[in-house]
Amino acid sequence: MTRRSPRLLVIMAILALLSLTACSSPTSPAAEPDGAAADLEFVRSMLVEHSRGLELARIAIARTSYLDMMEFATTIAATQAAEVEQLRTWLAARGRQDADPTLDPGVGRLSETQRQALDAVKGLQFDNVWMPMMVEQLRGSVEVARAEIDHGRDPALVALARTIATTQQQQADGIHRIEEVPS
Amino acid sequence: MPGLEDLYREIILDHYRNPRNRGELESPPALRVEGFNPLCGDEIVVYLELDGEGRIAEIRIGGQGCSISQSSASMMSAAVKGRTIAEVGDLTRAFKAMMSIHESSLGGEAAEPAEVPDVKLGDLEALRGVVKFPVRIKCATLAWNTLAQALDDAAS
Repeated sequence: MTRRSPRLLVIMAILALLSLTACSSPTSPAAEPDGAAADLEFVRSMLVEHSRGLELARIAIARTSYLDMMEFATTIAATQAAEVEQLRTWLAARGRQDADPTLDPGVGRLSETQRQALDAVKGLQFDNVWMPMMVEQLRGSVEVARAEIDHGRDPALVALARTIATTQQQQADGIHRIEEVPS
Repeated sequence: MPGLEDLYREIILDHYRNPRNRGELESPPALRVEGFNPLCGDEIVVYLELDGEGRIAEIRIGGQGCSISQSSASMMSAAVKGRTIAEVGDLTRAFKAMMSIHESSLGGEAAEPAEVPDVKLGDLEALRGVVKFPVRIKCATLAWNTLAQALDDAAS
């Protein structure tokens, strides 16, 4: 489950380039906008990740066979919904509400392949298909958060990224623990 | 040592994997009623035979769906078999009360909940945790509503 989305790879490449530019002239005024660009990209990317994560978590609340997974998916949904609020508040404070990519109804949704895979299974099989998808989703959020920790400028956003990197790694590990309970 | 939640999980999965009273009865003479939960696609079919004393002599369950709906149906079938209609009514009210569904006494002005019958729910206790997830309560109560419909049909 270490697949990185093409979009994330592009973001990481841009951030790496910005980082190189910044290193070549550490006192250059251009270093500041680079950090600001990383902040904005983090907010936009995380809104997309969380939009998909929320969709997945809500599907599990409606369909999982395990009460502990219902509980877990509820926690994931609550965590990500609160973080989405923080990210949107950050955009709003800068008059950049329009930069939220999820305003486009086609962005931040499960792929058709994922939706079909979930629709095709019933009962306990649902959880077998859903769990790896959710783990991958959580790890995607962790990767985006780590990029902000490395390259971001706004201390509040970097702090949020640290929280996301920690909690969502724990949640991904937690799903595996539920999965491992003999049943 | 497994906790109560683990035990409940095992009970739910046991009923899902080894459903009690699964199958069909010839209808007629048996009553056959279908229940459907459009929210998550659960289906339950209840086949029912009453004896001359108003007891559930035979019950069979068909259908498909999530573990909550199917295990609830299995537990219900085991709990009501051999019971009188009045006893089944008490069990239904007790189960629905556990699901936070309190049916008001009929004909009363005040909307006070009816008294919850003091009956043992047995394996059905394993579904207690569902009450925290309102979207899933209909999964747990589908079989009970379908049984109630069958008993209404029998009475008419």
